[in-house]
Amino acid sequence: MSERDTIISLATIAGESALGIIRISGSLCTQLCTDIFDKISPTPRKTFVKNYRSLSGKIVDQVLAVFFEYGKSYTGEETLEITLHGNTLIANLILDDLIRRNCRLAEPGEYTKRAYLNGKLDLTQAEAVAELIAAKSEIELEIANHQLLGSLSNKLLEIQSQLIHLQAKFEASIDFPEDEIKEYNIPEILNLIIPIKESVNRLIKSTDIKSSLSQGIKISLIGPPNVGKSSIFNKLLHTNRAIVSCEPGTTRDYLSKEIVISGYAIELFDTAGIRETNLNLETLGIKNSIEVIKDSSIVLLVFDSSLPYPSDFFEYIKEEIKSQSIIIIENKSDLERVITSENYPTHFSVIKSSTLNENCSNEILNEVSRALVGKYKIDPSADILVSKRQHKHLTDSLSHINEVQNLLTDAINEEFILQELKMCIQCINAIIGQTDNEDMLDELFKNFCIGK
Amino acid sequence: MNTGLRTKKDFPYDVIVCGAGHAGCEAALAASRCGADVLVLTGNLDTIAQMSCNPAIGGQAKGQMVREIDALGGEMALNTDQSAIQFKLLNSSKGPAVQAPRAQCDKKSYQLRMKHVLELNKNITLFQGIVEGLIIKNDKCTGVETSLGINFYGKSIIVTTGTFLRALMHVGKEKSEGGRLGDHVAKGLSRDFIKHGIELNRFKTGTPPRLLGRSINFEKTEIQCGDKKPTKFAFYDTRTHDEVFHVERRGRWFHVEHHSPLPTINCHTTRTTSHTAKIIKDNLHLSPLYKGDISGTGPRYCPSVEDKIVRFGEKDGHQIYLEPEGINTDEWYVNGLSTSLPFDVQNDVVHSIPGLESAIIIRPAYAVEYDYANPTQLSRTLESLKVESLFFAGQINGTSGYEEAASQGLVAGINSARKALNEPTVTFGRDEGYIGVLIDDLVTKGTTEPYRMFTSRAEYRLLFNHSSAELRYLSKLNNLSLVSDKRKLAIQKKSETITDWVNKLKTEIFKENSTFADILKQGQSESNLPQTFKNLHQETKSEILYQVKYEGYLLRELKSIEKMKGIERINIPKNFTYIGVPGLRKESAEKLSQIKPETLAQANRISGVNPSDISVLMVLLSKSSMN
Repeated sequence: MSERDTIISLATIAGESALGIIRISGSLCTQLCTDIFDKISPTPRKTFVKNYRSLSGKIVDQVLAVFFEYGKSYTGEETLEITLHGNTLIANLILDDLIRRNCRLAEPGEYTKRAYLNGKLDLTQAEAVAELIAAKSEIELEIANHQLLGSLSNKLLEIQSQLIHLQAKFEASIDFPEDEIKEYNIPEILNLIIPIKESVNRLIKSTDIKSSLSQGIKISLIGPPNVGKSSIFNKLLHTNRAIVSCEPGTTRDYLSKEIVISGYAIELFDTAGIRETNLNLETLGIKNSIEVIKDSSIVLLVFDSSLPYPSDFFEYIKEEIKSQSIIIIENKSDLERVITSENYPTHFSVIKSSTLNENCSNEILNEVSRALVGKYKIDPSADILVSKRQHKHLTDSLSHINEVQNLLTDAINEEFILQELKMCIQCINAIIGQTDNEDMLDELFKNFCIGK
Repeated sequence: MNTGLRTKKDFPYDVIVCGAGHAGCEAALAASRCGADVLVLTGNLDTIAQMSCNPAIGGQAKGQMVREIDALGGEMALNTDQSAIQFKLLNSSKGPAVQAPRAQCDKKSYQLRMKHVLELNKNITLFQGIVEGLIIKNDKCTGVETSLGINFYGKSIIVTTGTFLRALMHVGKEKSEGGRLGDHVAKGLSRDFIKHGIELNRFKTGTPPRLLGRSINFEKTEIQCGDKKPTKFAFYDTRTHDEVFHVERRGRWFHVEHHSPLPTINCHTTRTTSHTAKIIKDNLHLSPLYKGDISGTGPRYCPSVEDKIVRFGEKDGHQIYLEPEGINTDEWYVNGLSTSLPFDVQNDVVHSIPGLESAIIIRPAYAVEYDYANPTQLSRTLESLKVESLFFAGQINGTSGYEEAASQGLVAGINSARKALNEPTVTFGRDEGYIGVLIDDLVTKGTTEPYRMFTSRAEYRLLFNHSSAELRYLSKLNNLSLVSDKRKLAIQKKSETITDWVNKLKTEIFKENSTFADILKQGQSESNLPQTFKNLHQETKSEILYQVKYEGYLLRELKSIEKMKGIERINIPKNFTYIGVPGLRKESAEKLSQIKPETLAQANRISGVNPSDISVLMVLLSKSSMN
């Protein structure tokens, strides 16, 4: 609740638009001008055009920025406004970067609150501000609830209760040393932690709009040689005008191009055909193709439908295909069909295609789009702020639970483990609401016979 | 100071304390130390500071509280040390923060010494009289009525009536009125509370049977010895001899040599058997708890034996502790066998336990139901929000335990005196110690079962190790006359020594770029530390080592205290109207008007009040808090 930290938010509506504005308020602004734009003591209220350089040194976007000095801004604090290109990906990258630079996302209505607290609004406006805060919280709450209605909220509640169960075990051994409480043993607790970590990890992945969107979703075309992968690759790219860049694979054995499908940033890979002669996995080219397959979210598995199903082919790569969605493309459908489908791996769908047919790329794109929507259900333009916060809390909770694990392995005393565990619980609470110490005591008295 | 008994309306006492249990005694003593002229009324002079239940003081979280009471000039710690017959440091294998001292006491010594402490205090007048009613005008309490028709007047009144309000005891289907076996019941007070808008609810608690020692076959039990080296409750390194043994030196009849402690007596353990479980199951229908005769809520951490059998089965039995009630008696307390079953069933239950086959019950077990006033009706000074100058402390606030009661007594005593003397009141923060956690929990959240302190209730537990109590309350002591100036100075010096040494160990190089702190954190022996360190007092040394070794963890807690300070400082005016505040949800407004939090941080801890409500309040309150 400290009023001194620096807050940030996307002031414009999230999603695709011509421009977006990120507002930053707090004492870090001067420093940020220097660090990000190399702009030492910027002239107040005078716009400047600069490249936004992230902490890792990468240029994210060319932006327009303006600095307001202390006392002269809406909030009364130092303020920096950055106008960027209106793109979810860019906005996310910049917000992330600012969080890494010790800013935090603003609470609903916080700018106005600060303005009031800093004497920029008079008392007659206070009630209006209060109403505004309440209203904005309602909206955020609604969005959060909407998102939390389904399995996400159930999952979080489950994690919360698992953590409290764990806490009760430790607390019992501290607060009731003479009550014949069965001492927990470390392997048993570690076994309880594993599923918690797995659930948190899964949730992070499912709410991980950031990494999938900022790094681009990877889709790869794989298959035996001469089945028409490259023709499909070209077809897909030609029908889409949103080509951002074209760079050959570093090892010259695959190609990748960036395209946009249904608003998702995609990096499409054309891998080298995996031949029988070089099925030796030590071959560098194959190794790289395998890496691409591993990183892909969706795999387009291409076969020549005029040939028998190459059953040994899938055997070589099946270890690498675990979580990816597979779309099978039976190419060369203009020729007589020989292939049989009974041994196909588990797949999302099968498409018949012929590169002679002008519509084939559309069919493939439709299927890919369907797979994408299924895989990344959260609509990034609807609730970007909420899910970003959730994401932050989830990753924080994961690092706390990892630390609990370390402390346990080092046989550190319970009271220190509990400090970490309670911080972990607070992260989850920050998403789905508070638990009280009473909840822990309920769990404790339910499980242990207390009262010597 | 004009002491002595007086009944004049125009010459009121500064403070009247109703009740002389653990809360009442500390309240009277604290008030007198704050300069108040105090009257203590008790229904029975022979039961002052009576340990109505188990014969032990301290234990987990409670032991830390007793040391805090001592840091604030209270009497409980000294009184325990002087009447102890066994000391034990609980959790001694764990870290300092969760280690807790506990002592078995000679109940009579404890009582008599505390009574004598009150008698010797020139600011305190003791009088035996049952309080029957309150004198309240315009929502302000100005005195009390007693059963003999005598009225006493006071500027502040503290009620510490324990379990005596409309108390009803159960042994099987037998019911009798009274707050404790053989004692009276207070009825008139409940009526007056209700009349003035103070809501009352029912709790129940229970106590086990007491046995005759010579009828116990101790050979069939296991001996539980105390520690060879006792961990005492009072701080001796900051007090002069005279301050420690003030009673023993000045008392009329205390001839005990204060260097020779009371003899040590061991405790014993045994277990319930499958036969015990069968007897209980067969007779469950006779237990008033299971028949529904008792409506009050009991404590989950101190269940009756029938509860334990029903909820957790017979397994390999439940442990039973046999604890001596004192040195001049052969009465034994059977910890773990609290019950409200009929007397003949109690007998069978006792006889089913190894070692107790032919044990004689000399006091039956019973359950007691009593009124308590939900503590959310109090401010943080423990003054009633409904009736001015009326303070509540102890079990009447829904707590259980001698230590919890004594802590509240201390807080109510200080504040009632300061109110009477027109001095600013004092509040205790959650960041200062268990006393602050206790008071804040009670007045903010209330309680739905008899409240007992657990270390898990404190969010800054790691800072509340028992030996740091004096250091934590130092700044508070400076503005109060609870301890002598000499002792304040000694604590100040100790605190400085600790800070200096912590810095020294953190900065001075031991070898190869490693500071002393580094090698300590790596778990290396303390024998490497300089001789000047080794010469320090043991308490000082262990505090320094704790702060150095666990620096990272402690810093985290300090940081989160700092984070809370912002809203902890925003006060909410007493008459703040929540209903109709734009943006404040209706449920929150109702809760807030009922509990009347005094700071924004306290409001934040009320369950159901959410962050956006707090934001709304922050905006509206910022103006007044800035001024």
